[in-house]
Amino acid sequence: MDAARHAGATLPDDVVRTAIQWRLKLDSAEDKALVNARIQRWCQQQPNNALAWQRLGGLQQEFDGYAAALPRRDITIPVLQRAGADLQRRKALKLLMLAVAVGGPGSWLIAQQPGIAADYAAGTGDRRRVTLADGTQLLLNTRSAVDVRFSATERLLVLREGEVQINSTADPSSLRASPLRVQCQHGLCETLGARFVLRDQGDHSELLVQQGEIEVTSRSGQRLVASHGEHYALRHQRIDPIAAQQIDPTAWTRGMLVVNDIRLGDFVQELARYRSGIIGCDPAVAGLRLSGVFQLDQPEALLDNLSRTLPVSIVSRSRFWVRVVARV
Amino acid sequence: MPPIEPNSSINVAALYSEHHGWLFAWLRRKLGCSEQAADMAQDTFVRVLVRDEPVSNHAPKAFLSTIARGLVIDHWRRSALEKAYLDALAQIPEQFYPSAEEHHQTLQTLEQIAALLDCLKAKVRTAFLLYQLGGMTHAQIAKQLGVSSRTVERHVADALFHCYQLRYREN
Repeated sequence: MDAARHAGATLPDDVVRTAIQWRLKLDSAEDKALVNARIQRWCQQQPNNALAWQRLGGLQQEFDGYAAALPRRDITIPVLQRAGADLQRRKALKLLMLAVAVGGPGSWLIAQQPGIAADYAAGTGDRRRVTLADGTQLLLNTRSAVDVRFSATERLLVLREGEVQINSTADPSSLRASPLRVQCQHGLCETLGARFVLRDQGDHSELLVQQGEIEVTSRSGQRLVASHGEHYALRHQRIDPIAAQQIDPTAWTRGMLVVNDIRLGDFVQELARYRSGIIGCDPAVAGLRLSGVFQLDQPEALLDNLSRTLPVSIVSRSRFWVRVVARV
Repeated sequence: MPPIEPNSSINVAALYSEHHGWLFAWLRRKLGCSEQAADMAQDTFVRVLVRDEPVSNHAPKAFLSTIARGLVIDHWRRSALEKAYLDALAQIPEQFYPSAEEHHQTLQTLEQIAALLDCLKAKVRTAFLLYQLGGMTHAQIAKQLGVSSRTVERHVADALFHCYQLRYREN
């Protein structure tokens, strides 16, 4: 097929378009023999027509091959849709990185600022510590990524995914010219010096202030000042305080997972962030509750531990597929 | 691999020593990982080596970054697919999990399909996938996407045209 692919002339677009119309007509035709005869006549009119039709046939064969090789299309087609959207987002990220809040609340403008861009990322199960040029310290949790955009007039960080602890209190004596801004997909955090944890949860982001004060702005323009010890959920439309914490939001910075009265299903989901492969929880046991302190650097041991404290067993097909089920 | 002619327009060793530095730094910024960046910088030069045509001395930076950008996009595509596939598998009962072998095969097929449909708009891609792989009719797709049958037909035709161009109008 490869030889045919590159052989021959470039055909005029309208010939190719017409061949495609024939293809679609044939697919939906009741009387395929009739349409086929008409296509044959069209092909005989011009060598170009015949070549276009032949090439479309080659393309069709390629797709038939894919279709035959692709199991579970109920799953794999949505995977292609999601991954395609994901890739396009990534390609567009360069533009997103330039989106900076300028001026009043809620004015999300594109500001083209020359600056040095750097990306930092931590892989699954990793914690990565980074010290930036201005002394700000980042601690990236598992599967997290941060863009750094510093220039002479501005200090901007963008949380792309995952979770980061930011410590910009290193030198309180030197008043910096510009505040540190941290953008996540749901809003913007601004501070002159604070230590805080920001986590992207998909449909919202969570901010916990460990020290200092942070001015938070949602994308819709709601604004408030979060101080020491406060914990907020940022959504596009609003900012809400978080009262009950089932997962200690800062324990990971010490390498721990600390949970309090959490559903097993939620616990397993949290644990999944730290392991490669997939881990599922049987709905029959997802409602069980647990509390405890766990070491994050040994997720496998942690899993084994579960079966000792709860009436569950761990079934693993391979290292990549693990499921928590009811013990029989 | 063809030997590098001494009088060919550019020597790959010279290209490497002159350009590896910035290429690695550029890739590291893109990927956020030194190890991956080092691998991919290496891959970029391997691509140059295994090309049939000699490398022209004209704009080597643009030439190298075009290759490297392609590799980065391949990498992003693969990791987006892997992640989406694992997420999808997590939703189904364990007895339906594929073997490691099937898993690998499926991802490869997904990669080939995705590479073909990369630049399409989301709706065009979806319509085409549902038609070509899902075996749905224009009317069924129209209902699912909330658009007219004519629009679906146009999307499918556009996608086919795009695939045709990729396959038959390269270079």
